[in-house]
Amino acid sequence: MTDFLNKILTLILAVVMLILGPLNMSNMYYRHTQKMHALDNMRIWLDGVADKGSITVKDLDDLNEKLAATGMVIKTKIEEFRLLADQESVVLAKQCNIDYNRLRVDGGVHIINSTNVIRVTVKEVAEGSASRLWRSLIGTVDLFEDSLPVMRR
Amino acid sequence: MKVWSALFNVVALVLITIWLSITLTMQDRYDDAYASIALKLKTEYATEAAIYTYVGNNVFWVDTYAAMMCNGYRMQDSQLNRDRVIDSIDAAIFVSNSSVEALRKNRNLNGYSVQLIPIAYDYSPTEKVMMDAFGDKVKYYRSTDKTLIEASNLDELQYILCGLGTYINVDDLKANKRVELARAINRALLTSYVGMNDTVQRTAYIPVDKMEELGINNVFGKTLIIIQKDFRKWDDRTITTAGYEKVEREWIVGFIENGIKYYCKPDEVPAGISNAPGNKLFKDIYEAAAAGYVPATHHFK
Repeated sequence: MTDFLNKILTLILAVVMLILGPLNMSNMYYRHTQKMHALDNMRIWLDGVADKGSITVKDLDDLNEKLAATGMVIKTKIEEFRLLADQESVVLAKQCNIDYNRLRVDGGVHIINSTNVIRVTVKEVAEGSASRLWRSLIGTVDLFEDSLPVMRR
Repeated sequence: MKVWSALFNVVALVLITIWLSITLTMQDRYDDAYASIALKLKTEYATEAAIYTYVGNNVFWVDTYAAMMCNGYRMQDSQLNRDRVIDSIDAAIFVSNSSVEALRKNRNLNGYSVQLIPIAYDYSPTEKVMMDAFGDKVKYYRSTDKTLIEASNLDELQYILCGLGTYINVDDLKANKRVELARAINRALLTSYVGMNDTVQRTAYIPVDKMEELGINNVFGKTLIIIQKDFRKWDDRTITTAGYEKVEREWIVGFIENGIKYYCKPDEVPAGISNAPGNKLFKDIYEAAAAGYVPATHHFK
């Protein structure tokens, strides 16, 4: 019985140390890099749009291409909020979603008014088999989801 | 034999435990690194918006900041969540009482406790200049003969030292003040984390309308520094800083003279027309031109 237990433990140890360990480390680092790239691309895109004050079809294409290049399957949502203020408080009220349909209605260019806020939300909608394995085993990987808002400059 | 088997089992279990521990620690580090950078970005954008919309009401910019942060984290924009954002700022800057150089002043502005950090600048291995982060007062200390000189500003200090046969480059110190301030804040944050707890009075943020009163305008222009702790997880170590220097927008003034719509800079508007009711403000000359205004070249300086 003891021999059998030892063999099982040896097997588990070998698998963990030689296969799962390096794979897991590599996967964690890869996921981290992907997330950082996605965040960086969001920032660069938002800075450009906030300075320029408008969004065109080319801008949407640029964002989607850059996010796709991270290797993640990402769904993007762009929203515009209007800053409403009175003597009491300040609120951000949603004005519209900015997508290809919206741009078609706007004649190809959506103008962002001063003090309006543009928010980009990205959500990972699919994951690889390795990610799924780690998530189900020890919950080390989650689907990426984040958003960044910036005010029109 | 049984002893060896038992020993082997124990070693195997220990190794597996170590591996699991390393894995989870590494994951935490990656999460922290990402959360820190994301928080910094969101803080910067919210700070920028807060300053941009600042109109003289202290509540207004704090509210804008909180609304932007709630929006960035897709939290419901409730008073509770806004309070959490503000609380996270309160919690971020805390300097332990044991810190020697961290706190020199403790003021109370608009109900917020504002603690200012002095800057210690090592001018040379034996000479140290301590500057008020938000004011002009300076101290000079030389360790070789334990000389301590206090002056109301750097120029006066230079004058006094010249009388003693010592010269210091004031321009260098002035230029380095901003860098040293950033370092001082970082040092304070590093010191603070060790003893951080909820019971100690913590530094809040610096109300923007008090900056000129504090003398910060001499150093930065209108600047808001926000140091924020991640408010999603209170156990989180994620702390970030964001500063924003407000660049005063130079508005273009549109006015009507002899029935013609003109635009020019505010200081170029002729007397008697500068506050006329029909005048308009434009962000730039393109906006003025689009509204049908032409350049008032005869008033340009």
